[in-house]
Amino acid sequence: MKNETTNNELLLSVQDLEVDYSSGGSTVCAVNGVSFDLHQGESLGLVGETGAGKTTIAKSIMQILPDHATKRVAGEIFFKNQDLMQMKEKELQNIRGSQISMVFQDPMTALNPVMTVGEQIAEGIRHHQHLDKAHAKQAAIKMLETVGISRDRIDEYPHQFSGGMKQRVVIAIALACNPELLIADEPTTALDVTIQAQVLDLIKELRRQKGTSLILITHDLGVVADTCDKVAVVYAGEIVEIGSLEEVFDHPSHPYTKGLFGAIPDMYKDVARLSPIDGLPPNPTELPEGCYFADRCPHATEECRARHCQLEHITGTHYVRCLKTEQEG
Amino acid sequence: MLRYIGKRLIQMIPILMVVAILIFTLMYFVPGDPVKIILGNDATPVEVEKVRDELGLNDSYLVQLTDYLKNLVQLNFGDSFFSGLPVRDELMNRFPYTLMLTFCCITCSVIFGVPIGISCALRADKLADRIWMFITLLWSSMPGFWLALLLVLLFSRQLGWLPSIGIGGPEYFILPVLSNSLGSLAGIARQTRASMLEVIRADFISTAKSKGISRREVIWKHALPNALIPIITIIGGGFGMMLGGATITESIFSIPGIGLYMMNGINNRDYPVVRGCILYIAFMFAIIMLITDLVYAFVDPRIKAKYVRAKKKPAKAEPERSEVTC
Repeated sequence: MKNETTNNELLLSVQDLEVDYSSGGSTVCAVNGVSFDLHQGESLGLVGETGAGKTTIAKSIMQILPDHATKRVAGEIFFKNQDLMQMKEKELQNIRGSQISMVFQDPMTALNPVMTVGEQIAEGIRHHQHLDKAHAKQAAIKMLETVGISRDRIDEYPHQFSGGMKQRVVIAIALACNPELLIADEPTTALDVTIQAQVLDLIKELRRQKGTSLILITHDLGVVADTCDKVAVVYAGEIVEIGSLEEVFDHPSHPYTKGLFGAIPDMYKDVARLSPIDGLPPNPTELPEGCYFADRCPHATEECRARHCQLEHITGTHYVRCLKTEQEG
Repeated sequence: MLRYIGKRLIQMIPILMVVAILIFTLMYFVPGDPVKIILGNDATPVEVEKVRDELGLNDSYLVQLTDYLKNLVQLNFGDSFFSGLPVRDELMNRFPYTLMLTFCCITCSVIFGVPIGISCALRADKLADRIWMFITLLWSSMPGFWLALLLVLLFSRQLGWLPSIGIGGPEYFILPVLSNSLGSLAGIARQTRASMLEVIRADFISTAKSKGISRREVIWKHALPNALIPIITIIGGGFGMMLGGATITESIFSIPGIGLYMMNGINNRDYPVVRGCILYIAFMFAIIMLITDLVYAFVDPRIKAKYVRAKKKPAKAEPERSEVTC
C-alpha cells in the first residue's frame, strides 16, 4: 500500500494490528488486522462510527491501551523504522509526547482537575527538553499563547476554562514538544460548531507552520474533507476503504462508504427524511465469518457471507475490501 | 477562607449546647444512684440523703440543668463525685495520652494503608491484590478488643517481649497502637484501592501517560491527588473517633486516657465526668471535621473556589475575558 503521490519519508507504518479486549468474560475484537502507512507531513483521516475501533487504533500507536481490559495485541507498528510494539516502556516514554502525541476526545475529562494548566503543559516540556521549572513555565506560556489563550491564565485550573479553551489547552499539551506525529481523537466532537471550526483551524495552522503529520479520528466527513490528504474508512475494527481524499470522496467504492455519503443530506434539495444505513454494526464479541458489513449491505450475496475478502487495489492509492469490486477488477 | 473558618467555629457553639443538654437529660434519667456507689451498700438512708443534698442531686431537673449550663458557659465542667477533682483539669491531664495514641494509630494506618491501597489498585484482580484484600477484610472485621487480647496473649504472655499494661517508654505503646490501628489501616487501604481504581481509568491519566512521563509520576502526581478526597474523609472520621478515646483499647491496656476516664465515669454514675467526656468528644469531632473540610480545599482547587468565591468575585470587577480567536 505504498503512497506514490508523495516522495516524503515513511513516518508511520501499521501492519496487521489486532487488539482484543476482555469484557465480562467474553472477548471483544476491537481491531482486526488494520494496516496503513503515513508519510511525513501527511494527514490521514480515520472515519467510522462509534465503536468501530478508531480510538483503539490511536491508543495502540501511543501504546497506552488500558492494562486492565486489554487481552491481546498483535501486529507491528513501525515509527521511523522502529517497532513500537517491541519497545521497552522507558524507550516509549521518550517517544510519547515528544515525537508522537495525542489530543483526546473529551476536553472536559482530559485535563487533570487539580493541577494548573501551566503545570500540565510544562510537565512534558520539562521531561523531554530537560528544562528547569522556570524555563519550562516560560515555554508553557509561549505554548498557551500559540493556541490563543492569554498568558495571565497560566496559573488557573481546568475548571476555570470553557470547553473550547480546555481543548486548546489539550492541544497545547500535545504540541508542546513539537511532535512529528499528532493523533487527534475526535478533537471537535464535544464542542459546539463555532468552536469546532476554531479548533480545526488551529490544528491546520499549527500543522502548516511545523509540518506535523496528523492522524485525525472523526465520524464527520466534512471535517475530513477540510483537513486530510488521505482517508481510511474503518468498520467493525478493519479498514474497508482507504485512499486519497479525492479517490474516496469522488469514487466511494465500498457499500459502507457509499452509505455514509448517502446519509449526508443534500443542501440544495428539500430533504424530508435522512437516509441512514439500516441495521447496526456486528457484535464485536462474535464477528461473522464473511464480510462484516454483509447484513447491512444492499448488494450482499451468499458468497459475501461465506468468505472474508482482502483489501483490493482499484486505482492509484485506492483500496477497497469488497467482493464485488474484487470480481469486477 | 478565614471567614469560613470563623463561621464554622461559631456554628459549633449551638451544636455543643444541644449535645450538652441531651447528655445532661440522658444522665438525669438513667437508673442507678452515684451516692449509693460512693457510700457503699451499708450506708443509712440519712447519710445518703445528706450526700445527695451536698451534691445537689435533690434539686429539680430544671434547677440542676440551669446550674450545669451556667457553669458550662464559664468552661467549668464540675467536679468528679468521687475524686472531687475538677473534670476540666482531669481531661487536660489525660488528653496527651489519648492524643499520642491517636496520632500513632493514624500515622501508622496512613503510611501503610495508602501504599497498600495504591499497589492493590495497580494490580487489580491479580493474586497479590486478592490476598491483600482478603487480609484487610479480615482486619477490618476483627473487633479491636479481641485483637488486643490476642496480641497480649502472644507478645506479653507467651513471648514476653512487650509489656501488656500501663504506660512508660515507647514499647508500652506498641500493642495498643497495633490493635487500635489495624482496623483503620484496612479501611484506608480498601478505600484507597477503590478510589484509585476509579481515577486510573480516567481520561486525564491517558493524557498524562501520553506526555511520556514515568509511571511513578503518573501515579503520584496525577492519580493520587485526584483520589484523595474519599481517603481524607475516612482518615478524618477515624481521627475523630480515636481522639474521642479508644475506650476499649485504653481499658485493656490501662492507658490513662480520656476513654478510660469516661469508662470509669459511666461505671460509677459519675455524672460530671461522663458529661465532660461526651462534650469533649463532640468538640473534638467537630474540630476534626472542620480540619477535614479545610484539607479538602487544599487538595482540590474546585472545592477551594467554593469557599473563597463569595469574597473574591466583587474584587475581580474586570469584564469577563472572551475567548481569543486565532
